Amino acid sequence: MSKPAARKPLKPHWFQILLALADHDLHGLQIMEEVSERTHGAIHLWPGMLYGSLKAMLEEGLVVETAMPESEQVAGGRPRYYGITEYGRKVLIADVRRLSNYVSAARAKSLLRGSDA
Amino acid sequence: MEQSFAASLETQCAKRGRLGLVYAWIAVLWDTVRHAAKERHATWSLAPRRRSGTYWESIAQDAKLAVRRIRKTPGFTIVAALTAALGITVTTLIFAIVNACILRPLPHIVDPQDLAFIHREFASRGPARIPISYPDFIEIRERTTTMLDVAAVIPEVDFIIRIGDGLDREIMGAEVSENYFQLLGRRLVLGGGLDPADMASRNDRVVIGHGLWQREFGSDNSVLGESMQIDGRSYTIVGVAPPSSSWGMVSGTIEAGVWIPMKQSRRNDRTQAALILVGRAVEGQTIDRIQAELETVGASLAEANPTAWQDQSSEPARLVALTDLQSRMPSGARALPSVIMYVVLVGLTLLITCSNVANLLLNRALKRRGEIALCLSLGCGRGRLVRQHLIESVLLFGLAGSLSLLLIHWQTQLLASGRSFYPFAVDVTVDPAVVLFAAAITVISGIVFGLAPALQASRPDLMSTLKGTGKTVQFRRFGVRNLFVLAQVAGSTVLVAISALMARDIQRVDDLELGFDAQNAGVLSLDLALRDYDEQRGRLLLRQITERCEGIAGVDGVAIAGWVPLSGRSWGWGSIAPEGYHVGRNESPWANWNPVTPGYFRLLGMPILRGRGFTDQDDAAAQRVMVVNQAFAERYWPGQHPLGKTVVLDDGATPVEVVGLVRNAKYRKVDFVNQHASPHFWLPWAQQPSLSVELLFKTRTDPAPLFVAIREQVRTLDRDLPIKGLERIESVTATALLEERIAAAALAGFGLVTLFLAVLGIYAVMGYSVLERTRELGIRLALGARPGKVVRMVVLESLGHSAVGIVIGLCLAAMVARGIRALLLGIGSLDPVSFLGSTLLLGLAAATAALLPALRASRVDPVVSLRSE
Repeated sequence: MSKPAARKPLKPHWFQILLALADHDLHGLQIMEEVSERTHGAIHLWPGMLYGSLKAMLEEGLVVETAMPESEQVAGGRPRYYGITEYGRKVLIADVRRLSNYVSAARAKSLLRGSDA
Repeated sequence: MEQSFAASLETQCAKRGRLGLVYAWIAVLWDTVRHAAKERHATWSLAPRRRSGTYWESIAQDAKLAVRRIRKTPGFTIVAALTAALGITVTTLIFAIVNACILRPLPHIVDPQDLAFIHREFASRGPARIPISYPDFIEIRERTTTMLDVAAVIPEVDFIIRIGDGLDREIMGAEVSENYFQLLGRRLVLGGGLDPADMASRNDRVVIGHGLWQREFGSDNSVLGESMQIDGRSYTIVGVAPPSSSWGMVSGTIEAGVWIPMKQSRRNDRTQAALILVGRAVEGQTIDRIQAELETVGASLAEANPTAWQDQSSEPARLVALTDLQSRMPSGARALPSVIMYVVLVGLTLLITCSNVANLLLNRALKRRGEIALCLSLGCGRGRLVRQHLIESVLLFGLAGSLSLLLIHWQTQLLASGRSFYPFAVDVTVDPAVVLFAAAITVISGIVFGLAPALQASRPDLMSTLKGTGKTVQFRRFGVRNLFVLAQVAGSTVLVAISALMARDIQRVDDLELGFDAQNAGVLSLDLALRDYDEQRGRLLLRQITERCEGIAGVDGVAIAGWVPLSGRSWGWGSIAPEGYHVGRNESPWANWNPVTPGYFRLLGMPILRGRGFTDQDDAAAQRVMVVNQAFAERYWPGQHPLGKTVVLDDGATPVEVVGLVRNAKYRKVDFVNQHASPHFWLPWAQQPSLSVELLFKTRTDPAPLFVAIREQVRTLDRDLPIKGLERIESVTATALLEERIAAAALAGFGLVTLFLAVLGIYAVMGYSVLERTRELGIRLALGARPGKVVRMVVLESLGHSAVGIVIGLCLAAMVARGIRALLLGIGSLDPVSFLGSTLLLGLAAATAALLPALRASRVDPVVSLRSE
């Protein structure tokens, strides 16, 4: 497992998934909805992409499967819940810092004005 | 998953309406295909990934291992790489030549894709390209709207040039319309070229080729404005073309020496059709549109000029436009035998060399079977092992491929350096297409010929191999190794049989009696028409030249003829009417003919069997007479006495009486192919004079030393009369079969190389098989078998394996021989001597290859071999 800061930048949809899981555990559909809502539909995680990514992220230790919360009992199938790991959180923070550095640099060059800023 | 799918559909519907549903389905489908494949792939490569990093890392590991192995066995690597390089070099070189001649656009031309090459065709005569006349060219040029402009060229015209006071030389060049260079859009190395606006350029301007400029003018920049003689006329040099400019040469292999404007005599003559047109398309026009326009233009031209545009069956010709690439494709079936021969040659060389390498790889893999068995029992996948071997073989072939490119580069440089001696225009270079081809051949052969050894090697009998008693490959069984040997032997048989066929064919042709004696005789070629001689002045000049030549010491006799037998030129007279001969339907009696002076038959040693030859009395005022050959008499008057018979020639003059019968001889190349001699008649030169003449002279010894004196005599009589040629008749006739001789020599070379490779292959396989059977042979010897018997057994076994290959090879050779029948002149395509001879040779080679291992086997010490197991 490489050091969070030494990793390559996260793929955009991995970043979105980790961001969605940053404050609470979610199941697949919830992740999809959260990302879609937060980005105003700009990013849509299709099922293949979502579950494929979750599987790969599980292998890399960025997320873990968590127990289903008592409050979220759903009729029918049992959805799998995912949570961010400590390592995943560090990777996410490292990536956010990297992005924020970029943004600061762009701001210093007065690239962002008015509502953008 | 289901819910997220449903949610996705819902979201998209809400966002995009009905379209969203379609969008969502397409997106889901794409998403599934993409990620399903990825996931599946992950499962496939899960094992190596967990063990040793990613898939690519494991490939890199294998490559490292392969490099290590290749470096560890330099001997093996050198032999295998050199063998494979041989096959790849031959294949790639042939491709490089084809690429340069046909595939690559013509050099030095702006936007060659916009050019259209125009000629005429008769539907009934197939794709034979028929040229166009100058007046038709002008009309086509005026009427076209799909082409910006049209230029004309008469390619491959022989000119006689004289520079300063130098010797006359024949050179190939082209007659072109004044806009030719502008249309092609290429700037010359020097000068402005022919100028369409300059009326003077219509007759006395010339653009010279780069090679001629280098050879004759020492690349002198002040050459512009100098004059040179072409066909006896003075021309001013106005330009130098860039190197390897074959434009003007439609077949494109010889660099043009000079480009002169169309001769005046052609400009108003619709019957002189010799032009090929080149048009440049208006932007946006395609070759199909040009073709469509030409159909209408051609139809109206054919209607207006039926005599020039219709053949004998009154079928009108049509205009055809070809693209640059199409125009360079060899047309018609004439090129087919040579193409078949080269494809077979190249394919077989590649097959044989690669089989050899495959055999070497297999041998090595078998030697490593202990290591392989260990790997397998420790849990290594078979796929991984196969991949390892494949990578090694591809790397080995890659080495060979790089070596080949180096070799080809040298060869092309050699070819280029030869250009100062020979006007070879094709610029054979190692360009990206050639590199790509070599790379493809390398990788494909590496995989194809590496796969079998890799598969075979990764399948050892684990138990016995690990115990050390492994007899993994039974030679008696029909295995992959035998398949390689079979392929090699069969391939070599084909090549050896075909080269034997060609060699015997040439030998047979050389042994054939020509029917005339060309020894100690020379020929001087003149064309009086180039200096505007009329018949009367021509007669006078020729009489003077003849008298002067006869006066030279060493000259025994002089005669004049229209053409020399086997010189590549011949004259035919269509529609003759021999007396009493009933002409069948669709038959047009025809014969070769030649106008000759009285001394001709004696000079060439053609015996007159009956009657007489010509005398000085057979002049223009006398009764018209002719001499015929045996074939003529037998063809038109079978079983009759030919003397006294008459023949009506379709020249409207009185019938001609036969006064002599001459023995048959070979006159043209085709006479070697035909079993029967072709009919031929001779007329007295005085009664049927021609201004293009060959002056033959017989000498006591070699004629060459007299050339200077003869040239001097001609120059004294007319300083500016161009001398087209002055050489031994023997050298003229020898070049008649040059093409066949080169093919035979090339094939013989290939035959020898492949025979050697096949012997190596058989040796390797037999050697290994003997090694494998050491124990068995030891037991045989221990039980009392005599060494001689063991040797015989091993040799016979090798012969048995080779026999199958030889039989297959002979069948293939018979098929190839039928394909190249047209190249054979004196021999049948199924010549028993060639086929039997090559069978014996291959058998002998197989026996020799097996002998060494067999001798080694007979010296096996039974005790040692039994203990070793």
